[in-house]
Amino acid sequence: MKQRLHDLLTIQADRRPDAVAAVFQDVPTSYSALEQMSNRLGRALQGAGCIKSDRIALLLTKSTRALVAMFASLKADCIYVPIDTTSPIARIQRILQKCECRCVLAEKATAALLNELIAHGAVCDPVFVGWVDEGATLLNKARSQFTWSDVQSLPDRAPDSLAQPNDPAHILFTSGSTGIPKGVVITHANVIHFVRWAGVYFKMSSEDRISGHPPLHFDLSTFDIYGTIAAGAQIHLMTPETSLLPHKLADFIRERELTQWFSVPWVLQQMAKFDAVRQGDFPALKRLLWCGERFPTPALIYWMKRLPNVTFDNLYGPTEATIASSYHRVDQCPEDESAEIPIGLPCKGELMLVLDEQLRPVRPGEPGDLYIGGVGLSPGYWNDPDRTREVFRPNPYSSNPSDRIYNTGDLARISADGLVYLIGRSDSQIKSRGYRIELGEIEAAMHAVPGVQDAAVVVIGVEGSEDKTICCAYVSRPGLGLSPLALKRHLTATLPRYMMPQRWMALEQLPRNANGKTDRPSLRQQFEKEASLAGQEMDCGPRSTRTELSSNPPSLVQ
Amino acid sequence: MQENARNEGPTQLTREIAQLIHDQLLVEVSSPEDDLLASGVLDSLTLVQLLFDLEHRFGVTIPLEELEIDDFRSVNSIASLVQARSSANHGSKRSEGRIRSVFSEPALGRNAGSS
Repeated sequence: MKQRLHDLLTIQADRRPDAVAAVFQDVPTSYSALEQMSNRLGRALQGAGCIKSDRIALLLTKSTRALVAMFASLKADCIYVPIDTTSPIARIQRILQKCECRCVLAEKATAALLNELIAHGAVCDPVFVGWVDEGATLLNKARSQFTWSDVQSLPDRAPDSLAQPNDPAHILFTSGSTGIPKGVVITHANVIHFVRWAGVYFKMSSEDRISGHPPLHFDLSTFDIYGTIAAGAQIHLMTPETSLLPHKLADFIRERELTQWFSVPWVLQQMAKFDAVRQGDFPALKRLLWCGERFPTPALIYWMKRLPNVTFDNLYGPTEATIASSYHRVDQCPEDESAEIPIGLPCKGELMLVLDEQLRPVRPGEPGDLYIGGVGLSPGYWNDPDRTREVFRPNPYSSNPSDRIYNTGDLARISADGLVYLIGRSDSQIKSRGYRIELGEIEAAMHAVPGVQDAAVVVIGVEGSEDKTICCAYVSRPGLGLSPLALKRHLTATLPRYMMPQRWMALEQLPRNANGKTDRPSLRQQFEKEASLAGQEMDCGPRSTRTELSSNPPSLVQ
Repeated sequence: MQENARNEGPTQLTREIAQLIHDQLLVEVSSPEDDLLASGVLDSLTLVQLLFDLEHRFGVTIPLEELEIDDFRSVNSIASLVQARSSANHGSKRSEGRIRSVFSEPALGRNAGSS
């Protein structure tokens, strides 16, 4: 039978109702409880008028209730949209508008945020609010449809579901270069294909205790959740605060006896940097997986030396191709710190092509654009046919006209033994701490600030390190002399925190190249020079007291 | 820092910490009781930067492995941490003011650089 994602839960709840499915803040939830709660909430959504393919915004922090909300949305044949509740109001508002949500599921912890959204007109009739706990009082412009006590009074049988495997299951929003976030549509089948492959490849079982580290709007979390449920295992959800201190994270892995860890490399790198892992640590851990960006080899060596009994797999894939498209197991601890780790081979059912500008395959070893096709490929961006057409193209090497390939924007080469290696990007997208950031989105936000006449964003980083610093240079409108503090205050209202520049430079004008375009290499050099001077100053001892940003540009403050 | 907890005025130390956050992270903290974690002033990147800056500014060693999340909850809790670390360091060898890291990567320091 062709399955939908919520069928995975129903199967486990029938098979092992009392087994623990999820643990959050030491509270376990069984498979049957998860199934029944999501059945009831699914009924509440249908009862409130939700129909097939309606979008449900999840204005929820990470907890087991958020998992209930996901499964409930699917059981009601709806599409859920996890919202980053730390994002600025304006960005959440754009996302809600873009996906024209029918319902917002909220909780007491997000009630203040919800009321701010209501005050901004982002949530109003006919959009209704459903509470997954006792909730709170709403501003009068919004309609509250049900609270958790209403939900609990409903039957716990599964609601009727008409969803097909190729129907969208969720929409994940990522940074957009024009300043508008893009909604990547992911189907039930997209996730199920990956989860099935991964279940076999990683030998996942009901004995597994799986980490739930990334935020729920990250596509990595999709594997944690549905991989766990498909295997009948346990997911151990972490609060964002647990991630702040590397030693606390290590305590979590140790105390919960996790068997699988999956995160962006930055987290593992921090744990290595602050030596949070002991020799032979985490005896229960079987496998460690990372995805989202390059794992610096020195940090990988640190981990592999300490955990000789753990397998290490590098997964690669943009959100548009669902969790991961390729994998590479690092069998031997690299001897050389400069050793390059490939992104490997396509997962089963996936296709990876390295092509030139005319979409012809390049020869082994030559650089080209990396395209992805296959079963994990998203149908495209929600309500955005132009951007979808731009990057999802017909596959010129398939006889099936509906086959498509996605231009990842990554530059790659294929080695003689068929392994794919990443080289860089063909655009200005960067990864910082695993977050995907279009520098164009930051520039668009800066240009929207009233006192800004011109702005450019560049990235500097230490050679061989994944520590990247987002730097912005800007020109104030005449007579305004916008300070970095004032500029940052403006940007806080539109940009997520992870996109916030860390270095600021006020200039009289941006440097231009011969073609009249912003001379980004020159800007990068200026920032690198300043950063290097600052580093030298630190090496000389405690820094001198900072002076307020001089009104005579150029100057730089952090 | 107009509003202060109970009847206590801002101490010199809390003023300096708020100023450090203002200068290094470009964030104005309105009260020494403000929750810096809930408001997102401190995240996994800025927290390590701030640690580094505190070590340099106050000449203390702050061993990361001994820290609790709540040590960074507010300017007041950071002040208590700095005070506790000052007494711990007092009389012993003067602090090098470095967060211990197994790599010699200069990235942390440089990212937290000043003009």
